[in-house]
Amino acid sequence: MKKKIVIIGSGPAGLICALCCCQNGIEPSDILIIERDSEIGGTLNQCIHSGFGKSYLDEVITGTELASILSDGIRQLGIECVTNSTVLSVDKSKRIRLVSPTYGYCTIKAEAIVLAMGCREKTKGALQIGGTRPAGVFSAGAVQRIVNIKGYMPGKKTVVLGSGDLAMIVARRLTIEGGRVICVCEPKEYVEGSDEKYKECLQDFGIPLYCSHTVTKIFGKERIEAVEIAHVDKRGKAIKGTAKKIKCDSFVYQCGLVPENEIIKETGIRLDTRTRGAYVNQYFETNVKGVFTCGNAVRIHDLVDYIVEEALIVASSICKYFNKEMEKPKNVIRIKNGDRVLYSVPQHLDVYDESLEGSVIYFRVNGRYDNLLITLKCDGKEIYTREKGKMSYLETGKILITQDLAKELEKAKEIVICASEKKNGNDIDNYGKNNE
Amino acid sequence: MSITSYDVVIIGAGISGAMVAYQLAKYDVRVAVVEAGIDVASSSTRANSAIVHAGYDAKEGTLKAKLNVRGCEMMEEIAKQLGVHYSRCGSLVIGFTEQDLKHLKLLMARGEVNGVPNLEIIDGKRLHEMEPRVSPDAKYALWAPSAGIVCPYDLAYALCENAATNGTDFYFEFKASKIDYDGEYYTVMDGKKRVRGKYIVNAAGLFVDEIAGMVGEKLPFDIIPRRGEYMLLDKAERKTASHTIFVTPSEKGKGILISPTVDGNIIVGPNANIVESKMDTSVTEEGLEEIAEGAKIIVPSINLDATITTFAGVRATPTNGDFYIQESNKFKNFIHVAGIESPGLASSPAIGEYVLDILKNCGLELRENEEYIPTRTKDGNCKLFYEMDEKERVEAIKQDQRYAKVVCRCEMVTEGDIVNAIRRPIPAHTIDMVKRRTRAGMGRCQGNYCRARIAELIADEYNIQLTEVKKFASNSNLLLRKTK
Repeated sequence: MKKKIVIIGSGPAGLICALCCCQNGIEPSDILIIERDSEIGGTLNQCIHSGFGKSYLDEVITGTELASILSDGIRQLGIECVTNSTVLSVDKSKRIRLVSPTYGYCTIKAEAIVLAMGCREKTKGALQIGGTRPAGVFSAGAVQRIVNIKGYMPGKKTVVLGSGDLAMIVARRLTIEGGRVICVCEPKEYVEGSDEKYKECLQDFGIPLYCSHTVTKIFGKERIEAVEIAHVDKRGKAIKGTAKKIKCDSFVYQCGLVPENEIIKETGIRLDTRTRGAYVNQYFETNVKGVFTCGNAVRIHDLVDYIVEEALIVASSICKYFNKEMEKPKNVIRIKNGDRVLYSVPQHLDVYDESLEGSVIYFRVNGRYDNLLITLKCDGKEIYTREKGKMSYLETGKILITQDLAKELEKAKEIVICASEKKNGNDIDNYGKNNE
Repeated sequence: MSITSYDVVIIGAGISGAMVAYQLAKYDVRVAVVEAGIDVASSSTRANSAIVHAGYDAKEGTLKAKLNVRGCEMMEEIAKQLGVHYSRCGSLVIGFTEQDLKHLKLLMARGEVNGVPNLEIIDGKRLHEMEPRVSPDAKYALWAPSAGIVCPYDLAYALCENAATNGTDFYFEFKASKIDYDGEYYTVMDGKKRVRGKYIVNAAGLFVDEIAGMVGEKLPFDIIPRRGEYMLLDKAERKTASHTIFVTPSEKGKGILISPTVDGNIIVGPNANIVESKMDTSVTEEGLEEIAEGAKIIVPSINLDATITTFAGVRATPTNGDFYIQESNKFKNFIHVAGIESPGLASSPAIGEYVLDILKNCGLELRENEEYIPTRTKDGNCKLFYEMDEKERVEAIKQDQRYAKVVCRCEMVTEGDIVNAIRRPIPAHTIDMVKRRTRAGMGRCQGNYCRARIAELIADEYNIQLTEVKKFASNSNLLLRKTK
């Protein structure tokens, strides 16, 4: 089987990319979207809370609503989506190995591929909690799916570990469904997620938050009966003598998300060890020509808005690719991460006939800072400074390449993004790495 | 109440009981296996290092030494026959000092007396060629190419499935609590449940002493429950080690090892701590730290952040230090298979053979079963989708559409595999039973994605509510109630 464009994943990244490809003049029949779940929409389907759609539709709606708007669009255009279908591998020559009830076990030869597989949750193994392994221990994402899509309660008395947005949203959900969240433990000294979510999800529902606390042990032979929580020091180590046993019938943890890129292992696509996504240029093209990527498969995003931006970039890049505007770059500019910068995407800029103007560099810093100054050094020379003010590792920073900057950069070899503190900084080093 | 009568009743469906059942299935005898847990391999067999030791550890002349070397030799053939993943990857005992070298030479000499083939002491250069990530301070190693790795519970499933296919009856959640003897038949009871057999094989692992006690016998040693904790690393770390690597043993035992598993993960552990309860398979923070430290001695660059799960198993350590496999001194036709600690897995094929000989000597008549089926089921060994080649996959999907739907994306397990596991000769009816039979939920996401989906398949197949689906034991329901 042959296909012009294959999009792997039908979350917001994949669907928006498909819709915009058509807006850019690509025939809907030239696109195939592959989804492993029974519905399209990806994680949006379990996000019944509000906060989606702002940059794409200019209104704030729920994840499920956005999923249905997007899937209606796909249906109206007649873009083919195969559901219940899993990509086993993608190789260098853009051959996709697929198992699917529709096509059986088959290979699809694509001219362009969009990797939009999203992300997965890290496991409890990474936490190394002691004790038994009973039923009733869930990741936050699994609970969100079970409660919101399946309509089942995983427990009535729950302890939550982690205070990222997802964990807090799940704590609120369990409370609304009639359960009781005894507490949310956060090993860090502060809430991991946004202040807004902390207020909406925990404070407004009277759910206690214990910062500098972690879960150290699980009790219960068959179903979970209790957990042990303890104070932790700044390095996240439990402090002796502070342990306390809390009775519960379920334990929900969130220990971070990782881009899902297992299927591209054989493609020779270079992965960034910091983002755990592919190395890309400003067109979100990987080092394999014609293979693009967007969404949480590139890096874990804080806002859907950035995913939308990336999907739009990929949709226009695909057109350029088919118009042969991106054959051989005249220059390649490496983007390096300087002080306090955790990662940046894209990892390099490719200079073609088109100017660099309008390209965006996204980055994150490695801690929480009150007064940050962002600078861009080009082959040793400072070409950009901007006062960023307050910034935490949870937010995405953006540098827009202006006409002037583009001119400076065209012949450059390397640029370095640096963040420096002006004063009153609260440098907590690489602690924020856990949040990737 | 009618009681089913058997020629042989095996108590315990761990690796020893499973091997005996497998050996007996080749003959025309009526056999039952009673197991306290809900599944085959419910205790020590489920959680151990999964190593087929070469046989240089056990003292010369012991039963352990004899059965280990023989078992290691037999393992490959059995695994092949039943489609069990096995790899003869070889083992290395690494040494750092002159003292260690002396000890390695002793081990080698002992191994040679025991009959271990092709043992060799190699220098640091060769060691680091074989295992580039081993500590640069390691200067010597004992190389045992005959050692291997196998998946212990898959082996036990395969053996029991083969036995069940050939007519052996299995009774799960049958916790033998009383045994009567009428001079011909032993009646094994669990409350009102009872089975009787002319011969009893006591392969109850951690509980052999208690089973012996039910007929009033005290074994000449005690069984000490010793817990070993483990860490399992993501497949991405597979380059950490390609052989089983030990450090030179000390008084404290064989110490922490690093080994590949047949499924491509890296296993690290175990420690050895005496625990009060025979069922205490909890992991401890201190224990995991102990393992992490031990692992770093072998491979300093090991990436323990890639741990996908931690677990522990309890071994039945006999105070006399050797296997004890013989007919009871007091009761005829009552055979103890006791004290089977490490290298119990490696020895198990030979244990099965050895027990068969004892039964024969006791007078059990063994006529060959002419309709013997040598595989797990009538239809062969039931390959999983991920084990199939391209042609087999296409064929499987043609036969059953459900093979085209992947449920566990990490381990590439399809709906077809899961439904098949639910319908196999020893059917899976819990999430963990499905997991161990298919690997669904054993990958890097540890079931976060597929656990609820597997529960739905179990509920469908057994026609029960989703809230009734269990993780493993009777009270381990996954979900509490329906809200929508």
